[in-house]
Amino acid sequence: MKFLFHYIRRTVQLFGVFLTNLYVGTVFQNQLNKGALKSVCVPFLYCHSCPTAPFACPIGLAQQYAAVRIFPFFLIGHLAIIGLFVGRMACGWICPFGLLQDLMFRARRQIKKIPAFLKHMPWVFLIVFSIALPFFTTEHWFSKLCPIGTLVAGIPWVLWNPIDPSTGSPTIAQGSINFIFYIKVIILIGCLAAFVVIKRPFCRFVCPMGLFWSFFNKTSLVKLHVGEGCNRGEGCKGVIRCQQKCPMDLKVYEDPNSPECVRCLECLATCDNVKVVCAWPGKSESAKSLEEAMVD
Amino acid sequence: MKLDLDEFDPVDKRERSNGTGISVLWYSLVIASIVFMVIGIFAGNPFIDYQTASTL
Repeated sequence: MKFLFHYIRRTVQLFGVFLTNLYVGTVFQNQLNKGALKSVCVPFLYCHSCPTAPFACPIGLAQQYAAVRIFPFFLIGHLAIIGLFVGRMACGWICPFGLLQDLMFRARRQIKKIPAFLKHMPWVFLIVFSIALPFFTTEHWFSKLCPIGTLVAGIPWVLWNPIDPSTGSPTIAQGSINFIFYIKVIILIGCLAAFVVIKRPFCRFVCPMGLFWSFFNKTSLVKLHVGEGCNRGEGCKGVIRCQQKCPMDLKVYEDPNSPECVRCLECLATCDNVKVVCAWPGKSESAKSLEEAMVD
Repeated sequence: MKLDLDEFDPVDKRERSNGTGISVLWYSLVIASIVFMVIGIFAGNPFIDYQTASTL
């Protein structure tokens, strides 16, 4: 069962890619989808301007709420509900950008010495770029610089550049590609390079959505539990297996419910001491191994 | 007469009280989230005029 687990997670992640690219009507309409579903966001970062995106991006919506100065009650409420049940699981199981980072990380000796201040950068991207700047300038600053936007929206639109039927002229007017576009491309190239040598750098040092979910890891229904048998890395023969397998490079035994944990559950497949607990608060339920949880 | 050791185990007691605290917090947050969603619906949040940001 354990060897299957990794492929099950990859399949679910691929489903996330499929879900976020459902709208193929753009190919026939030659213009951005502005359907009703664009007011509903997916529970992870994905560019709403992607030609095939049927849904909105949660951070894109947050910026729009800030720009029009409306408090996002509905957005916070429905994202919080998801977080209260599964914590940051969407990052580990369905986020397409998480999948891209997982697939791109290939370094045998990853960069470990990372400046400590980078850990706090998601706060800057959430408060400054996603709320404060849109509030004062009415521009979506995070979206303007977001590498996901460049990869799945900016570059495809520039390359495709169809004739917009409503105006009769190209979607990307000549001369409209300004220096911000080139800055975006440079940011994207920097991110792609970082993905190869650092585990999920975008999730750890940038993603405002991950920061939001991280508040729920301690209180969510799905939790991790490290059993008594764990010798805290001492018996792992030089390589701490849970950390080696963890896409966020966490030592799971230090804090099984760390705010950074994306609940991918890969550590369960690696070490028998790590178990998953899924119980309604107030009701006790024993910790389960990966196989027990999969059977359930 | 049997002695209930659990009663004298401070660690267990602490865990138990922490668990109760978490469950109260969890249910309160769920209710607060649902209230937020309802307020959002009445405030017209899901029908916000969502013009997509420029990708360039």
